[in-house]
Amino acid sequence: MSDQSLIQIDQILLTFPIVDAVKIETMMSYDPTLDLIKELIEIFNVEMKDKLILIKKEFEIKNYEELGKLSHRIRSTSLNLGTMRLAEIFKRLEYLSAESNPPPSELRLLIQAAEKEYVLASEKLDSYLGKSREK
Amino acid sequence: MKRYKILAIEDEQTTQTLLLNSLGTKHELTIAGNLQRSRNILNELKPDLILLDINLPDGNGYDFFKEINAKYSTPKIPVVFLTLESDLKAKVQAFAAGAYDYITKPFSREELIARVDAHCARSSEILSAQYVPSHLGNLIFNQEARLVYKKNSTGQNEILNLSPTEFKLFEYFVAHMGKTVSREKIAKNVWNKTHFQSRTIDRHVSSLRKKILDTGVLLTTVSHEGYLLHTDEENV
Repeated sequence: MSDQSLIQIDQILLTFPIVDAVKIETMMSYDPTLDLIKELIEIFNVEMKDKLILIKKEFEIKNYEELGKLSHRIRSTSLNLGTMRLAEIFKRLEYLSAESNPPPSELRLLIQAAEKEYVLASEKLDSYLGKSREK
Repeated sequence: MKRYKILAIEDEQTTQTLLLNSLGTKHELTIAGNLQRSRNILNELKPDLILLDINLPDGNGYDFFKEINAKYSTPKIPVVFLTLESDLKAKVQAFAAGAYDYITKPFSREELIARVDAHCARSSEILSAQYVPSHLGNLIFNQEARLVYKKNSTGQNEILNLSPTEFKLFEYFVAHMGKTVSREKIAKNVWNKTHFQSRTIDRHVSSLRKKILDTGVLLTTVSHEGYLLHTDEENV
């Protein structure tokens, strides 16, 4: 994997917010007790950890079809929580996996970016809950 | 507002939670995470609307859509695709297959509720427009229960004792209330036969006529034409 590729994906991701603030605030407005958003964040964390492990496993055994399916599913989770950078990464992983000979170096790069972005997104989502408690 | 029965076929957990939060309090929402579970549910429940994801763990939403369309052709269950695919090709494919609507994930709560309510109300209107009248003179025709009730002298409803063939014949007449139907059409639609002894039809009509006597519903012979079911008030 080249430094150039790393810079490219990082630059693309910078055009997306880690978390779409409007999306989160709208969901918080549906349920003032915040039970809904708490439940969604909990599912998000469990699903992300679980699916990232599976995605790495499928990548190692070159089962790109399954890797694509997992990416599709987790893209939906990312979009529902407004984690836009993660959604973009999983979209790319899904589409790349569907190609006849997906380049492993690109896939690896995206998986690494997903792991990094998940940490940032999770922290950001927690910070929304914290902010809301302070109010 | 009426509570409709909605079946959502969706495997992703945050979407399931959002669906429950959006539709669960307004309607009777059942969620199935895969197609096999959906088939089991559909054997017991006929929903007013189905929300269908395209990529499911045990199959494809489009194939399942064709399957349920073939199984529940009359009346059709309205199906709304709920999917991540936002490209035009996927939308056109869904509408070409006969989908009622196409909602892209992530959906807005307000838009989802508005679309579901509108589709359920429209589908309910279509169904009630197709539904045959349930009150005919002093008779109550319950098509779903396959029963006809007759008001007795004390004003109470009692079951009219009709044979299965008589019920089918009566059902056919009710669906063509106020219109003369020929013996050929009766033979074809009730007995599923094109060549038939008209005496058999006449015998059943005669028996049915005796059973609905004094109910305000008349089964009249129209010379050289066939039979006409009408109420007392209608002009023949």
